[in-house]
Amino acid sequence: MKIKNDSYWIGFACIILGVFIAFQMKFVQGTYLNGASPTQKTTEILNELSAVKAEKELLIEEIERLEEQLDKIQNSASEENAVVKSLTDELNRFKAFSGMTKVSGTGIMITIDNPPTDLNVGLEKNIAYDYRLMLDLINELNSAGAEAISINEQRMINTTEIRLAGTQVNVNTLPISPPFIIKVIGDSKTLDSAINQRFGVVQIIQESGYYVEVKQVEQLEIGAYTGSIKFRYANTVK
Amino acid sequence: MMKWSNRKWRFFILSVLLGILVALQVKALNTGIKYLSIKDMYTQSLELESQKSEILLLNQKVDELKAQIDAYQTAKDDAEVDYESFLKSEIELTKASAGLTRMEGPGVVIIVADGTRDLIEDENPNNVLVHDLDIRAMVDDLRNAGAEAIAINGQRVVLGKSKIQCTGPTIKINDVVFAPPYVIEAIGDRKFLESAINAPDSFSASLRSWGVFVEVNTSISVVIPPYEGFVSYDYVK
Repeated sequence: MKIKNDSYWIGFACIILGVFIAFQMKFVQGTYLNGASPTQKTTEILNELSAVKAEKELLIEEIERLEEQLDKIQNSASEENAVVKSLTDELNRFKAFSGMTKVSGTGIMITIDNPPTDLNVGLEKNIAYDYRLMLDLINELNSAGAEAISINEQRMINTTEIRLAGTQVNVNTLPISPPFIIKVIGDSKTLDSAINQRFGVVQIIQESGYYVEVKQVEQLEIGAYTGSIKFRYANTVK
Repeated sequence: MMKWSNRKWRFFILSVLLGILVALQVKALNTGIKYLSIKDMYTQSLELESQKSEILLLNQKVDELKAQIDAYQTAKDDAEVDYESFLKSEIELTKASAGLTRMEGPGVVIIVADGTRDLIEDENPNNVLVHDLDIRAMVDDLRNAGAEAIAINGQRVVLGKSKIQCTGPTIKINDVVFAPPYVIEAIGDRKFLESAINAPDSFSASLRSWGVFVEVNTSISVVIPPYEGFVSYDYVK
């Protein structure tokens, strides 16, 4: 009689457990996946991601092809006329200054990443929340004579913002997430020691708990700005 | 005898169950279903988002390049269009996007000055002063709101070139020294720019709460001078 009573209790506990597990599943699905089952959703995401990456590759190829075509037209025009040639050179100089061309040279590479999650503390540190540290870093690099800067392949241009958006950082309106790889072209020694100065910006970032690594690189390549610049409000005046 | 067969039956049923489960598992692997932890899934979906917006930008670039190729081709082939003057107008446009031309348009004028309130006992005076990082964060707020050109005290701010540095009681902007008040001018959508400064979660809101003076005025016409740094590269090839 007593054993039977026990198994009733176990049965009852199992039902409660079952209900709770079902609730939990439902909650997880409702919050993260909009109702889809985890396997469905992951498959969807991963498939879409690879499709989108392939599309990106194609677009980059097309851009390179178009740029070559444009170069050809410009070159053939400048071969005919010396004035045109000097004008084209001037155009290219300003293009380089506005970040519209791919550049390479010596410089440094900075990697900033979040620390591994400390389960004891439970608080997740995210450099995205401290994006102002990155603003400071860019500023220090500018004062140390940086000639071209990119964050995760996004070129810093006149209108670039570095801005917290959700748990990511928007750069050139693109959401990017850590690790952040900042490439800088300039005098590598000056750049390196300017940011690694005692109580300097690298130390500040490290003391805030993030991982920072600075490497001097002999040959760096920084891509061109991938968007197009349009002025809707501002007009040039003489 | 009875006990033996009972045990056999159980083994039989369990083996059948195991077989079915293994079969299911293999089937699940074969249908191309991929597994990720919830956390990985989250990072993957963020990555997806980022890639998608990059594709938007790339598409814009493709369109722009196509238009440019068209324009160059017609300028070169068409006798009516002068290729030189066309090039000159292209140079003007590129200069504008590099921040090397004087710009005019609607926008905002922001005045930032040290706070005038009395300090609380033992309070650090730095709390009511304007610092270089405050200015940097405000400029960043403005860029995020779509500012097309920004100047501080008449110095054009070009990210990737400009520096805003603390030099004791003053701030150096593009190597020119300024003392407060700082006047930040920006061209763009007036409403967006104004709310970028007045929004409760903006950087200026926290500056104001410390007691720093921040004032925003919209203007129909703001004139912003060109960046005056030299255009030369020693390290870029």
